[in-house]
Amino acid sequence: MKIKTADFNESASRAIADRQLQQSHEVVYRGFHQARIHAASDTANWEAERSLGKAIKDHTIANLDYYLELLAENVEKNGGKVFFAHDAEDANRYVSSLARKNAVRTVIKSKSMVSEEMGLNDVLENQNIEVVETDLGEYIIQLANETPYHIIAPAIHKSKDQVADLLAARSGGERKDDAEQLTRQAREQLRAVFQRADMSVTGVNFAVAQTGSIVLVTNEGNGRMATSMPRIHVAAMGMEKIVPSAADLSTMLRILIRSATGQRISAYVTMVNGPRMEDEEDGPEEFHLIIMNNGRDRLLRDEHLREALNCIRCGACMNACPVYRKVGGHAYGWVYPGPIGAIVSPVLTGLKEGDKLPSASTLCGACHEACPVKINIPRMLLELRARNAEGELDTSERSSGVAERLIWRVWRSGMMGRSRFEGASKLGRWLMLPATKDGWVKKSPPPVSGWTESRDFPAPATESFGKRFAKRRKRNNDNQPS
Amino acid sequence: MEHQSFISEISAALGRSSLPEAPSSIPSKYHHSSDPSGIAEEIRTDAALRSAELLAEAAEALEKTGWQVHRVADLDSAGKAVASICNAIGATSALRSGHEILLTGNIDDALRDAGVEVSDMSIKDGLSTSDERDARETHRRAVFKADVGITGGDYVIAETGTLVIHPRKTVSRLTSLAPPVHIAVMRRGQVLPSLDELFLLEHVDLASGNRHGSMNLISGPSRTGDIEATIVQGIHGPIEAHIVLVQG
Repeated sequence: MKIKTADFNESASRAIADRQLQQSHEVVYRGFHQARIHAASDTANWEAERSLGKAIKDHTIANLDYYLELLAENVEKNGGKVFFAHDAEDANRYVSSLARKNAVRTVIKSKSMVSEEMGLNDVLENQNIEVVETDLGEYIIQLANETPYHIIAPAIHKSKDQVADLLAARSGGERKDDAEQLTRQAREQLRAVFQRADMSVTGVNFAVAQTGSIVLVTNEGNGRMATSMPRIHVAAMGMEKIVPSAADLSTMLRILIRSATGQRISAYVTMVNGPRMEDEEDGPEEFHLIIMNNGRDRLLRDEHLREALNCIRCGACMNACPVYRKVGGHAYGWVYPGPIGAIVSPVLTGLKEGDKLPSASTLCGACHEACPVKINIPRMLLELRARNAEGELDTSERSSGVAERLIWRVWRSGMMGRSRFEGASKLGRWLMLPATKDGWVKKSPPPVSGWTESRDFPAPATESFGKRFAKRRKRNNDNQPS
Repeated sequence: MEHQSFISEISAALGRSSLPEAPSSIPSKYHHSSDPSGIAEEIRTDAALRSAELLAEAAEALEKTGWQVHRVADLDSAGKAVASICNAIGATSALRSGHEILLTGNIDDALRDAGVEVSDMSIKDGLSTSDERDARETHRRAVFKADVGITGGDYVIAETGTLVIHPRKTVSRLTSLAPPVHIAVMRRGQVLPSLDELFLLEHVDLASGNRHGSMNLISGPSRTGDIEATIVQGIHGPIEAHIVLVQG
């Protein structure tokens, strides 16, 4: 997928000015966020489940090499094939050659964020292979030639009218106008595709190391179609999506689904243990599991950022985030938006392009509170900001400018002694006075304009704290009974 | 990429030069030192002892997740209940899985009496490779034409209102998915309290080599909220989901 993380400010401004988008953000907030809070309060031992979920992920990531080896061994034992992809290009090559070898004409996809990282659709289409997204939201944005807006609700930003146009154009048929009819229309269009598909590419919500299984969570049933109809099933996962045992799935599914949509469980959870059994009635003859690194080892290597690999992609941090709720999913410019995306995207895409993302947060902590595996997102955002300022993200230049560094040097010197501090405060008040209006400083010359362009600064008090304190003490002393 | 070099890179990222020994303290609800098959036995015994209570809990949860629940006294009435659902929705053709409860319950007879044509769609044994391929192709096409799919199941989960099916011989993956209406027949004694018990049993089964190609957890009809967050039933799977719970 094209990396547009550097355009954050422009995309964010566009989204903020778009009324339809702002309305859809409210829908996400009121729907998912409130439903999650309700589901959590409605679940016995919710906090204990979160703690166990975190412990399972901490343990798995700390032993990731062991569990990856175990997973590969067991998938192969079950008759599946495993491909380790160092990066997106590796993974694309594998899928392409598999498709060529089997003369595949139609590939159906069932929601996979990893395949968005890969940009797989373009790669296959360039080989004249028909690729069709089957999650309704993904299907809609594919027809619109866009990228997912939200990891759980990819087309949440599209209005019913826009969807109606897209679906009618696809079938050349009648234009429907309510959500139910539109859904039926998509059902018919996609059923035809399911029946001609030779291959499916799905994501992976969890992979179970001890049993060589993968788990798919869907509400629509496309995950089930994708693992029932085509002859070949390819599942693509980020290498961190492992749990040790099938017995871990109850906790992991509970916290994932309740955090994602607020449901107790999704309509379907499918556990795939390899290709179909010899005497089974239907199901894929071949099962391939692609395990992709694509920069995740940079998170793993870094003890301050490793925790980001605990993410189970529920989207709760996005729904909880006051910044996401204004700027929306596209502003983040890559596959993973929102607070966790502000950590994962810069690191996976190679840091420089994403250096604005860690600043797209108020550090209010709502993401940390919402995360089902308790990832301390604000801590990592601060870490990335610090590195960004120190120029550690990119060695070629410091991202903080000359002016900023000069200001801090003057500031430091001003803080070093009492008389200098008082002198500087006086100077500051005097400088700000002409810009003050109704108690706020709203405009300022460069380089300070960087601050006032996006926020107002409270006007300085007419009298300094030091002066007031001295006056008050004098008054108190004078009033002492003698 | 080479398997070995991929794993080595991960080991290096974790600061070691080779794969570690199997980890010893694994976080889990269950003490890994204790015998999981013993726990599995306890789960089954407990579910049998509390079967009436669990069935009542399950009925409530199933309704909440969108199943239309039909409670009947015995297996004879189950066939009649299935037939009357078929008549109510105007179904004339049904696919039926080979679950034992449907065979002993004479579901086919009840359906035929109600004018519903039944097919079990299973691939016959001993076909030549090309005949088998043809049979599979016919099967794939037929599942999309049936009015209703009828199945049994392995478990019902009381916590979440979930039906659990392991597809296998005579139990197609598509019977409970492709037709617009799914009817499941389950009985007392098949209910587990929560997902914890289900996945522990699955863990024990898989560890002992008792593996199915897949397992499906089904909680009501297929649904989507992808158009302006309006919930609509029936996108890729059934538009309606019925479950007949047999008390006896």
